[in-house]
Amino acid sequence: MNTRPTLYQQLQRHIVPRLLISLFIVGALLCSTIFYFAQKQITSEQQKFTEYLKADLQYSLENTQQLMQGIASNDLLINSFIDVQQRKNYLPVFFQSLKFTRTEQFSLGLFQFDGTPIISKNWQGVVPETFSHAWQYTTLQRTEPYRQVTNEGVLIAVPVIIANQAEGALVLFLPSMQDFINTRDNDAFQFIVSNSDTILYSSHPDKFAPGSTYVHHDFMGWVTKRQSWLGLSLVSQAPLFRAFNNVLWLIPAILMTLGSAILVSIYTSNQAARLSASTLQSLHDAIRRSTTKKTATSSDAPANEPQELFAIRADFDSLIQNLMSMSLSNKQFANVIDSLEEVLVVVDENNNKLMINRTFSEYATEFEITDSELLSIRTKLESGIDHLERHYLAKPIALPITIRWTMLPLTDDTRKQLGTILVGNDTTQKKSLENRINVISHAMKSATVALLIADAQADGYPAIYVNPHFTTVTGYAENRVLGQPNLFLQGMKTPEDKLVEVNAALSSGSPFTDTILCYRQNNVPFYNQVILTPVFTDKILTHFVVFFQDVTEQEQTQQFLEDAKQRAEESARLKSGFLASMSHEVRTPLHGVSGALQLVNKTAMTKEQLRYVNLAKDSLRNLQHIVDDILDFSKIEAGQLGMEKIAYDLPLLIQTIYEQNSITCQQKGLSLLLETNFQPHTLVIGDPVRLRQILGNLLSNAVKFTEKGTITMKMTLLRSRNSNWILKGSVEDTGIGIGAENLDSIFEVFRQEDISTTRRFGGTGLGLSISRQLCRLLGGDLSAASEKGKGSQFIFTMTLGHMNAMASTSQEVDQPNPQYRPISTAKVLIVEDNEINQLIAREHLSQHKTMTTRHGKEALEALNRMKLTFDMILMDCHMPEMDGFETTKRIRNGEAGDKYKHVPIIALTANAMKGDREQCYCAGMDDYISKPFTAKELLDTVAKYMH
Amino acid sequence: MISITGNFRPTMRFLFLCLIGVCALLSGQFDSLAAPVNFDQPVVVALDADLSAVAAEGGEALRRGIEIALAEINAQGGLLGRKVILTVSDHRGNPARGAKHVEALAENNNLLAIFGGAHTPVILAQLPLLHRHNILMMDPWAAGTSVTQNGYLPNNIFRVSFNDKQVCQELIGSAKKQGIKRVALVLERTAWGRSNYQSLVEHAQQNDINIVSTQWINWRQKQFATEINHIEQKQAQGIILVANAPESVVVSNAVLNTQNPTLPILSHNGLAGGNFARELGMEKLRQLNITVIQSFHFLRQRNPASLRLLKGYQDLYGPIDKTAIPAVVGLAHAYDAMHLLAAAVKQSHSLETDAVRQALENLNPVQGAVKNYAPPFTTNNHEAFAVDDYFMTSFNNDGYLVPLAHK
Repeated sequence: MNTRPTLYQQLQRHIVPRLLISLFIVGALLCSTIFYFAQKQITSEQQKFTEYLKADLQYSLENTQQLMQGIASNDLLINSFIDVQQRKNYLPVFFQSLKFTRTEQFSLGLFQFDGTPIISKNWQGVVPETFSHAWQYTTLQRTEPYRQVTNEGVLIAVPVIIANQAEGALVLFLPSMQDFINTRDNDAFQFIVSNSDTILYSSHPDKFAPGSTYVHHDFMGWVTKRQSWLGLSLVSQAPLFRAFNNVLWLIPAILMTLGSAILVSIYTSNQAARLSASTLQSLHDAIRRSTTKKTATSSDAPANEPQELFAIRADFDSLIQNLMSMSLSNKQFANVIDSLEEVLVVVDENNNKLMINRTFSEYATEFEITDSELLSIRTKLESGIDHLERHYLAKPIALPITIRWTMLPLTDDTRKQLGTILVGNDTTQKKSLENRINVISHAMKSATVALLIADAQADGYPAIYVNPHFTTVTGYAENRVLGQPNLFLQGMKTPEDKLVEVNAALSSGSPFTDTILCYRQNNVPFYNQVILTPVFTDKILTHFVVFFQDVTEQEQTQQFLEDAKQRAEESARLKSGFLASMSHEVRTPLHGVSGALQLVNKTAMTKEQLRYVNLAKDSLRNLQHIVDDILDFSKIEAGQLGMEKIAYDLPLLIQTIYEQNSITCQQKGLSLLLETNFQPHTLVIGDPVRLRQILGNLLSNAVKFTEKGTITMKMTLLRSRNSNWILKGSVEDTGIGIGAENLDSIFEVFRQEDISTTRRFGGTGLGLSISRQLCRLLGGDLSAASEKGKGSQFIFTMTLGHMNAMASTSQEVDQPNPQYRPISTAKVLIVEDNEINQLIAREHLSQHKTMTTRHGKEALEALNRMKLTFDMILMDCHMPEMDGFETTKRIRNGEAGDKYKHVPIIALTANAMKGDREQCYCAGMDDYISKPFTAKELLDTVAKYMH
Repeated sequence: MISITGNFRPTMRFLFLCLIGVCALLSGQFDSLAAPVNFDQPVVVALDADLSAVAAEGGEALRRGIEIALAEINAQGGLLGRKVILTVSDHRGNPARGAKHVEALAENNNLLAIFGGAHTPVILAQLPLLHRHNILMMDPWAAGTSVTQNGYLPNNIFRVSFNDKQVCQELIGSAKKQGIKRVALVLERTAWGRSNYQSLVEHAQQNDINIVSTQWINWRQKQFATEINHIEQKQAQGIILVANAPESVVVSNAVLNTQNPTLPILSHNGLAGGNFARELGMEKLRQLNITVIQSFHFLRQRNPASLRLLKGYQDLYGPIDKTAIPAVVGLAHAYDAMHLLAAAVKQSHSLETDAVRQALENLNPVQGAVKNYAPPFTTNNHEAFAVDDYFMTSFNNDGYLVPLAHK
């Protein structure tokens, strides 16, 4: 042992030679690197200097050119091109004074547009031939500056411009660049060298004069950077030794550093060896002690011998081996086995437990899994069955469990069986889940609602389950439906639009409910109420559950109800239409009766006869009133009642109504009061006829239901927001009043307060309903307030248009009846099929000459045949053979001769519906008299057209 | 129309054949006399004017005037049976170019005459060459006195344009009418400016007007502040301006920058050759008190020739209002000059320079657009205009010159 060298010796022997070699290599590398970078720096410096040189040259050129352009645009110089006669007086002086560079050696010329010189300085014989024309194209033709730099010199030409074009040129020539460039101060050498190696410019003219030849071998060992520019070489160079100048001082420094490194490393290795040796010794001691004492002991004072290192290592290694090989794997294995959920037990051939895991211990304790039980299991499994299920009852209150046992042989490396591994799985929970699924599945199968489950993850959402009732409802068997896309709706011929909606719900994963017309397999249609519910598992859409319900019966009921409603509405419309046409039909005979009574009235009668006729006239007026009400009402119901919009004098109208009604009131011993509050502008736009009708209705009601006392009529005109006016009126009486419970129903159709009222007071019961409807059509309303026995108050409002003062002057308002002059006799053709009407018209027009025809054809014949000319035609609208409209059109077309083309034609018609007037005008008639008419109306109209 | 009856036909045919024979003989003779004139080729008149530099509008007006006259002449069978065409060259106001153009035109055997353009210095540079090559020049624009009073005999230059002597007389007369006693002169620093200077000094003395300041302006001069200061200090009551349009703009801007922007300016025709109004701008123009001497205006001259010219102009160049025709004097001068030249050819039955020159000097009266020329020239007087032919104009609100009475 002691023959071995010490650690220190060992280290010295190994380290020092290697250290020396590596230090030498590092030193050499350092030196060459420093040299490399120094040279690189010098090279880049030279590169920079050539760039500077180029920039300086370009700057000088640019600067000189700008100076020249300044001179070329001088107006005196320009003027000299025009002022040929006198320029000799100023141009030479000006020209000689020009100077562009430091050097005196330059040539300058001013040239004409065609290149002939006007004046020049030092030009002839100085400027080389190669320069004398080259600039002319660029400067004179293209009006651009020109620069040329060659080994013969520098030439700059700028155009003299008049109105954007060169009329001449100013040209400068410098034979040498030496004075042209401003040198920058640096200790390197810069040259501009021509391609024939002549030095054109030198930064050190004392050493390398311009014009001398650039000899390449003069610069051996120089760092040279060269750049080509316009065919010239720009050179910057410096001697190579300058690269070392900068770094020589570094070499002794490096050598000193290397020497110190050697000394330090020898000393360090010595120290290291000593220290490590003593530490190792101490370790060795400690381990010894530990081994002998079998307890851990700490190390003592260090010792320095290196031999011990081996011993320590050996001891240390064996100790670690002994300690570590045992414990670690053992512990890990046990942990793994214990962490298994399965029950694990290893038994040998003699049923001795070789190993159990924690799970087994727990189960064995809780469920009493004994050795005999294990044997029994093993025996059964060895008999060849794959697995075995055993049920165990818990000792205390826990639920019974099921364990599913399997077996594996335990073999050694030589495949010899050493024992058996029994593995048990607790399948209790799985069993219970299976049972639950069975129950739910049964419920779904026996449900009386059709059910379909679709896979939301697969393409097209294919059906993965349908229950038997699905087949019952749709007729399609399960195998026909499974795997079909989109809830099988397409298979049931669902309409395309519904399919789109369902597909939208499917693709958005949202619920959907609708009733869809589908077809069973046997093609019988049925209403299918589809209820679609998405199923999410962990927030991911996995399935759709769809219920199909046959709701055909409900749908049919619904449809039936809608049809019934439509029929009812249609019937109501028909009723209104019928009423309207009936009342129209009633008018014709009424007119007959009225006319006849008027005629009778003209004859001589006894007092008695006169009274009867008057009674008949009264009754007739009442009847007309009732027919009018019915007609209005049915028009309102049929939506055919249009309101007029004409200008009228409101106070005048109210006054007239008041006067008319106050007579009736006086007759009954009542007093009628009128209170008005109108604004200064009394002209309004609205429907005066309807206002008269409403007020008439309310006043006649008031008179009717008031036995004694006063009726008060109040009228106020209010300004509304939208520049319209609102008329607020009320009629108040001191009559029998209305019970509060009936106050609303009096506005209903055919309604008076009660049946007895009807008996006492008569009337159609339509008046208030019509008045309220009219008020509403006029933009207002009608309401009532009353107290039984004390009286009633009816308040109405309506919107009236604003008539400005300007328009009113030009508008004819409430035109007074024209005072006709005594009428001459007119020749009137009456076209009328109804004999009574014929008679009435003829009698009313007895002061005129009349002729009657029964229909349009007769009328046309008469007009063509008769020699005398009719002044006008009264035309019934509805007649057999040819009606009034057709006849009028034909007359206007000249079928009755040119003289009747413009004859006045006046319609006589019982048609009182809206649009009749327009139809008459449209057919070409001039005017319109509605039946029944009075003699005055007829005569006035005839008189109007006599002029 | 003359109707030829059958009886005359053989005689006519014979005469016609004879005529062709004579013509053939004559033409053969001309060839043998070494005159390389070819009767098939058109007669050439040349216009050498400033068409692009400082008086481009004037140059274009000249070209149009000649073209309208030529259209009329060619419509009547041309000159001596030959069509007349116009060739145009642009001297840009540069005398050197003008001289070069004359050299080139001298090579053309069909050349009848050259029409000069604006700028007296150009024509002065062309004078020696015109006489060396014996070429006639009609001058419808340049006004320099020495253009016609050039010392050459015979004299090949005939002017149908302003004459500086007469212009100066009119300008001084106009200044006097405005009550101006102290006048400043602003003159182009060329032969044209100097030509006016002499005449202005002469007429000022005669009219008892004091020239208080004389300023020379270079071509393309950009600043006039120092000069206008001087004029202000001398308390001039008006400026007589002899310059082209660009320099007139510089002077006008300088006047507008003084304390007295409405100082009356009486201008020679020079500024009418370029677009003075547009370059100055209408707003500034309205502030300026400037009157310009003119010789022709459609509102003033309403003779048949003038009406023919207007119709010809509108037919060829579109329906332009008669007050809006740019550089209208150039148009009328050139038109008249061409007709005078044509009349001389017709009167002399020759295209030879000497014969035509002699005819021009002895021409029968001709009614032109500017005036009735009766006669236009004599041997000693190559000026078609007299001092009575001028009148003063000012700019209307659209920037066009109108006679003072018509403003």
